[in-house]
Amino acid sequence: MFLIASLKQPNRLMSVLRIYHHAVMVGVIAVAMLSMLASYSYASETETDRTQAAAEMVENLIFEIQDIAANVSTQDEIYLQADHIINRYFKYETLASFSIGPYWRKATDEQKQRFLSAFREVIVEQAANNFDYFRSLEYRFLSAEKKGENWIIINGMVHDTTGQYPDAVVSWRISDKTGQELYIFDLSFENVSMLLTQKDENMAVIRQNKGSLDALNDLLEKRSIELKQARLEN
Amino acid sequence: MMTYMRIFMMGLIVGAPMCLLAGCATPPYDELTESRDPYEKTNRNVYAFNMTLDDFIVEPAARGYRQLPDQGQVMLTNFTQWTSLPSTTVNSSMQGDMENAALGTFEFLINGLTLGFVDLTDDVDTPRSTNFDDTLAYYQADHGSYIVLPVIGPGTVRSHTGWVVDSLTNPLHFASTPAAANISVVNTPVRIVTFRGNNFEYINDIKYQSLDSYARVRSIYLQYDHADENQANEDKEDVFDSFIETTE
Repeated sequence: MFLIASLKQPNRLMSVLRIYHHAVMVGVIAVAMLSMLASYSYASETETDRTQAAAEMVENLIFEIQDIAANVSTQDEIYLQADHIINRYFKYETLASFSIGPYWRKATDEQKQRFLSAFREVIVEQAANNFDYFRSLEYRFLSAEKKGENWIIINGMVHDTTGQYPDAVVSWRISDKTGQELYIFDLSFENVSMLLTQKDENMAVIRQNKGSLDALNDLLEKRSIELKQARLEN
Repeated sequence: MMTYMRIFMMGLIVGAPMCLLAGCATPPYDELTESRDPYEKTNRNVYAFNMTLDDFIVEPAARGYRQLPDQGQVMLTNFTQWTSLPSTTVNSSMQGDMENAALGTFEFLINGLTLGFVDLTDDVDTPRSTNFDDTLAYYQADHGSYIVLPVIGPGTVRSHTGWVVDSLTNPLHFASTPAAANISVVNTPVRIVTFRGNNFEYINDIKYQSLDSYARVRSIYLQYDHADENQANEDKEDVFDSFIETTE
């Protein structure tokens, strides 16, 4: 599958694979937890203030993640922390609806609820399974910019102090709609969007199954059980 | 003789799926899961074949590679990078980057003293790795459709074309010495195994943890491959904007 990479552009593809793995490790928990700051209210309304607030939000998020990583030790505790944060703060319904595109509107209420539940469970389990990674994570702010009317992009550098993963540029896409609170919508590593990748995968599963959201729900539920077993075996 | 053999094998690898593609009708758009992948059904079959190849040959070989001492792994990786330097030199010249071409030539000659196994130019600037796909991009050639080839894997029409041209124009193929012929023969399998071994966890993560690994690989490949292009980035922004404006 990846053999082309070794034949054509080994370094470039090697880096994107590492980056993607990096993204899964960082992104799953980060996206899950970023919403703890989503409900923070930022009163300032000027563009500069909003951009500054967005940058601070990301830095606070990283601080919170590292704090939990440093102080929580058992898998069960980590699972509970992640679950608690998602239940309280995560706008996972927005991300979940984005990740299945037009099929969200076509779904019945029952299908939507099932999808939301499975989607959330996979995120929490993946977070709990990969939490160790954050113990060696360092983040450095690089830049902040307003993009169009709806977004602020915060760029930073993620560094793994163990040297196991290469440094990677991470971009946080923050929703900046007028009159609404700031919240993080997506995370990209070297221009590979976590949310778009998840959307492409979800949509492919649905379309491969003749438009059935139930097929995706089945797979997600199966995946969450596998992740739970893996966590309990650790 | 070896050169003819290689060209024959390349024709087989590239030609066979092209025949398959020519013979299969393009499905209606609403059955596609990605508009840039019009041959998805065929591509998925080829991908499944590649996965079987990976299960039985490449992944076990990569496990073996990982059992080697670190220095052995480094030497093999150095070797594969060294054999790609002629392509870097040729394509840097075509892109007008003569400094990079000179660096590539210098590194190829110096490290050639050890057949590339030892990097004797550690302290010198490393040349930017480039190939004919980059050269086509430099002259603004379009990517074309997403295509998965047997053994070779995922790419676009442009990137696969680049690989064929790079393979055919690599000076190592034309050298008449037995050493060069041997290098040319072992180069491809060594590259495959070292790449798989060096990225063992990352690849297995996608292979075994995805809901649809074909779709995930395609998404990552296309996003990364198009990352520097304005149109692709505008399209990406449109996806986010249209969602946020209609749902919140």
